Amino acid sequence: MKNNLKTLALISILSASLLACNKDKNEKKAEEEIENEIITTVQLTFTDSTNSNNKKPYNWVNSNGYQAGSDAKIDTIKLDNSKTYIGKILLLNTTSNPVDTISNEVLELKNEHQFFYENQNTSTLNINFITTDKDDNGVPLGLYFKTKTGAISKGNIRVRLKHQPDVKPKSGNGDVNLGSTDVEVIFPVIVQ
Amino acid sequence: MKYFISIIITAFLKITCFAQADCNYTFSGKVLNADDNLPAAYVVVALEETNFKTITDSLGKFSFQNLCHQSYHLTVKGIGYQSFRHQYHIHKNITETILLHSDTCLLESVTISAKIEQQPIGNQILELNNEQLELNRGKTLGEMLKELPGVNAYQAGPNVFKPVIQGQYGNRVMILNNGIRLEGQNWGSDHAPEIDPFTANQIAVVKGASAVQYGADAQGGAILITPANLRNEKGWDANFNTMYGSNNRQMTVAGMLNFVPKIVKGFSGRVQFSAEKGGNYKTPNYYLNNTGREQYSAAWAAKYTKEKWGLNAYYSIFNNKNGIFSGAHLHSISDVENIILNGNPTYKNATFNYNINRPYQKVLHELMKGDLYYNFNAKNKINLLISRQFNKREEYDIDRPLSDIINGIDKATVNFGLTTYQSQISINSKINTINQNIGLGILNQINTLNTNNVRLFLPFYNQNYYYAYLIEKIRIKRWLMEAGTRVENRVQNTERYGIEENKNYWYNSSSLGVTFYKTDHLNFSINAAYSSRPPAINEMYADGLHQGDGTFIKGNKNLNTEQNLNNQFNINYQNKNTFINISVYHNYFFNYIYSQPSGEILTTIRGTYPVFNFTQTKANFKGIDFQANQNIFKQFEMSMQGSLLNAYDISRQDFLPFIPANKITIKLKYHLKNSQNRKETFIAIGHEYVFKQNRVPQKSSYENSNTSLIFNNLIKYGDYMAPPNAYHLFKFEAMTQLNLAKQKMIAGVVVNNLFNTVYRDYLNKFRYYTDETGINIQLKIKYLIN
Repeated sequence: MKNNLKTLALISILSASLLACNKDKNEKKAEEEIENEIITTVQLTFTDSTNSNNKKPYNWVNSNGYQAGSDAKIDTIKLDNSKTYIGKILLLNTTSNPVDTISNEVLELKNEHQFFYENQNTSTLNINFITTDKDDNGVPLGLYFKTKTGAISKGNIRVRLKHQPDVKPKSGNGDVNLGSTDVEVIFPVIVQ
Repeated sequence: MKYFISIIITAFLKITCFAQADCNYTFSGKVLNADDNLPAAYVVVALEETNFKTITDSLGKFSFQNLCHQSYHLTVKGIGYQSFRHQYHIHKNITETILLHSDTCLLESVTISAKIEQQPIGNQILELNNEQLELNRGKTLGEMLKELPGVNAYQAGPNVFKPVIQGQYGNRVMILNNGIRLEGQNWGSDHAPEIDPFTANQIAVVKGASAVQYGADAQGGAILITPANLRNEKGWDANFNTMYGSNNRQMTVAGMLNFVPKIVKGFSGRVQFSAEKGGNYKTPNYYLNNTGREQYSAAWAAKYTKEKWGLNAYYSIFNNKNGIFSGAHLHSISDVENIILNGNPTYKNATFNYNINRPYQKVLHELMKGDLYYNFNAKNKINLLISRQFNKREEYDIDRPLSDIINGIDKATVNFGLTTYQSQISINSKINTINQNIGLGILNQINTLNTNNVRLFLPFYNQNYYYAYLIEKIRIKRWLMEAGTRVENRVQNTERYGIEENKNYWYNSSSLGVTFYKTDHLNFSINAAYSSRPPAINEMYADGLHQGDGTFIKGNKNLNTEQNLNNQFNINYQNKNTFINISVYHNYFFNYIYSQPSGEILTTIRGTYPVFNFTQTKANFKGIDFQANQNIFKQFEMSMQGSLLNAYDISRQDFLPFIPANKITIKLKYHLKNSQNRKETFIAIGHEYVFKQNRVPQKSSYENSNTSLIFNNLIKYGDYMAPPNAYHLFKFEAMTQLNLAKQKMIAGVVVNNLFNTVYRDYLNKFRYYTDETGINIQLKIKYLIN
């Protein structure tokens, strides 16, 4: 009898410890947990420096963001030759309602971000970019820029956003090789 | 066979007697199985006061010479037997007959059921011997196993090692932790087994063929992690380990207490713990930022034994936090390309520290097991087993919503949970020379995940396995034969984005093995196994960018059950001075599942990625693993081991990617003479040569039009980067065992990468970004208190 009691005690300790284990706190349905903070749209807006009514946005859209399973829809940028444009970039998340402007958060974290604009066909495409805004250390940020076009030509430009927490230079013009890439898109450009 | 390696190591030790005179007695005898009085062949016989250790021949005979006039404790241990220990006073030549009783009331009966009742015959089982265990303590399981021929590891940086057996890994390698198959998140290249090696007293690898008995997911082999037996005698014993590694300034402490209280008759218990903390690793030229690690584990075990029945319980918890080298955690393929071209800019500012920042991974694994057995008589036994495992894996990506950074929120990017319940009933019976084990079981598993991402890399799933197995072992004179078969049914439900899918698979595995003991020194064995495995969840449903390596993976729902035919042939030779083991294998897959570059290019907001798809192909794995030890002079021992493997994709007429390169290791060891208080002392120097892997895929589905370096390499090597060059590594080892007043102390020094060689390894995913770690001087001390 005494032994049976001991056995019973052991079995109950065993089963109690089985129940006392860590449990999975995740809900099976996680939809509500999901935060849709992704970038679906890169929008470049060019405003003619001499005529502010001559203003046009161009979009690079992939509604699934960077984890996309489908290809993107890309506008071709069409600019007039021999002109100066005031440029602006917006990063949007169109999957949230209202549309979330991610570039506002980039502005808030400007000391660890930088946009880089690159003419990929310098021999055939007559265009150049100069960023006009700076972070707290005086290093370019790139949410705003100035674009000068030359003669009629076409080619591609590449736009990159680098996230550089702790490594963004504190002086100079920045370093595209540091940090991780948050955005890397290519727009076809026609200077007409 | 499994003891051969450790025997060999110790058999070479030259013994000097402490006593001065009369050291010429002989102690010989015969070991018999008490049940049937048949010889107990190949069991280990040792004299405790000396280093004499031998194994019985096929007739159960053993003999020790040059014994002195004194008392000796004789111990006899063999698989399937209760161990025997008795004191003999030697004052003349004596001959004894020792009866071994079958271990029917085994302590860790489940462990043993993995080790004995299910132990495959005619197959290669390799075990880390005590010396290898002690010298490699403080490493992760995957890194420790690399000591064995034919075993490699996939790495994701210096902290994550995933075991590879004869070229197979992940879903094709099963890990049995204390008799329970480990159910964790093993699908990613950066997911290491969730096991604390300190809980193990024995770590063994069952290669290839008959490992299929453990289940369908052991097509490449199985790893057996076995804790030490619990104490039987009243009283207590304890041990305590401390360790230091210079490279990442890692400190490790671990302890274990075994006790048998006087109050409860038949009860025995154990508690143990281990803790590890390491900082940034260093390559020969620079530190690796954010490569610290922390690990805390604890376990307890208890048994309650009565005459006819017994109850065992085991619990372990494993907590691990690994920093991921910040220069290797990239999302954009152009970042990968930039580092391959220009070197890694994160080296510049890296210094030593213990901080673990994003990106890092945090893993919790819990195992709870209970089993109850009843012995009907000496020959028949029934065993009931239940277990529960809980695995939680949190990945903290460097990349998180900017609003989280602004608001200081530090949440896991992905959070996977996996809960597994298993129960099994098995009956073991002996009929003459036939040992039969039959079992039925059920396993239930639920997976959940939690993520910040819109895309779900894996679906939610739950699955049930129902299985039955039968294993027969027959011994006829010099022949041992074994046949096993297992049938499994898997019912699987998945759900993602509201879409549910149900799958139902029936599959089976069978193996046949024969060992022939030609002489006492030489045996041959052959083993053939057929097995099939349903595709794993990740192989069917993975979808998205795999964190950290810029690889876009897509699962394939149309995959069929993977089937393979694995044949192995082994030769074992051993005598006083020589030990040779050669294993030749041919593992043919009718439809091998792997991920390959699909030819598809995906344009995302973060750049252009190659897409990897899971696909099936006819594949052939042919290889040789070998090991040889030779005693050259009195105290010198030389050993060599190596593994060669050729893996070929027959359907595509191309090589398979990420197959371990050929490897040869040579070691020279000098044993110091024992003294009164010091024994098993040696110093050793080892040299490892790893060949360049030239057998890489060369028939890419990508066309040679994309100018990017990544795509060009993908076409040439099936990989982002060319395979690294061959390399030489050197290693120094020294160990001794000291007898203090009431304690024993084992002290060791190991120096890895002795010459601080700069190299990269083909199986390390981080080789795109960094060199391997440099010199590491490890000091180890273990106290044993009785």
